[in-house]
Amino acid sequence: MACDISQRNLNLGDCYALNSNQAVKDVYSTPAVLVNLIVRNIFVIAGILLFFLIIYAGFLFITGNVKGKEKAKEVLEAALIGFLVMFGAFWILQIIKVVTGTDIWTG
Amino acid sequence: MKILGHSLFVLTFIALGFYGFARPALAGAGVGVLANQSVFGQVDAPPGVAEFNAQIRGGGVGPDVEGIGIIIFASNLIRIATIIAGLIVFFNFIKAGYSYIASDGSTKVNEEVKNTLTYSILGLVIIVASYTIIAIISLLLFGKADFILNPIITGPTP
Repeated sequence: MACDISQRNLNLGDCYALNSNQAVKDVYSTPAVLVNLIVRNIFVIAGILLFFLIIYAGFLFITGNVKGKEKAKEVLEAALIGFLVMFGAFWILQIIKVVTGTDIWTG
Repeated sequence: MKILGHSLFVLTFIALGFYGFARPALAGAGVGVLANQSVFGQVDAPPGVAEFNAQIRGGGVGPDVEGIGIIIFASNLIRIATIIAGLIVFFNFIKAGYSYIASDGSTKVNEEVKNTLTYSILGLVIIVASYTIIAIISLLLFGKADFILNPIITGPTP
């Protein structure tokens, strides 16, 4: 699909090149594609962060003694709860969708 | 002022990114023609980064595909962190033992030594077991034990 700039009703999705053989429109056909892309990868990144936070909590334990215990507990709790909220976010929205009957993401 | 500076920085980067990867077409040019006129050129990986990338080259995709070496770098960091943790615990033990010897048997010192030993061991166990903890969490949540330990970053079309 060529992009003709002299034409009216120019489709920017055609005109912006994603790489050598794809236009932006071919891949990102809907905003949902971008949302899915971000959501899929943010779990990977959050998982790695969770890993580092657990190790950090261990460090707080060995370096901080009693004071470190409080801090380490906080870090571990926050990390785990945050991860679970991320994990449950879709379910929360699904429940809201069912309860209120609004079409949140397919509409 | 600081926030303004940061947002300017980010905006510049976003603008650069769009300039680099989403170049508007010239009149009548198809997508294929467009890509050949590279505005930005090829950016090479810096020295250290390139070495990490070379270690992961291919990555099950192909021999010429440049891997993302940050995973190997993170693994190295974790390995070093484990070693350092072991050393800290070692010195904690020596310190605790010394203050125990040097004490006159007072309850305060006893308590301190007990806490140091307990939390050192606890911390070391957490650090050493973190692989297992993460594997259990990812098995529980994602149904795959290596979802976090062997992260796979996917593009728009998985």
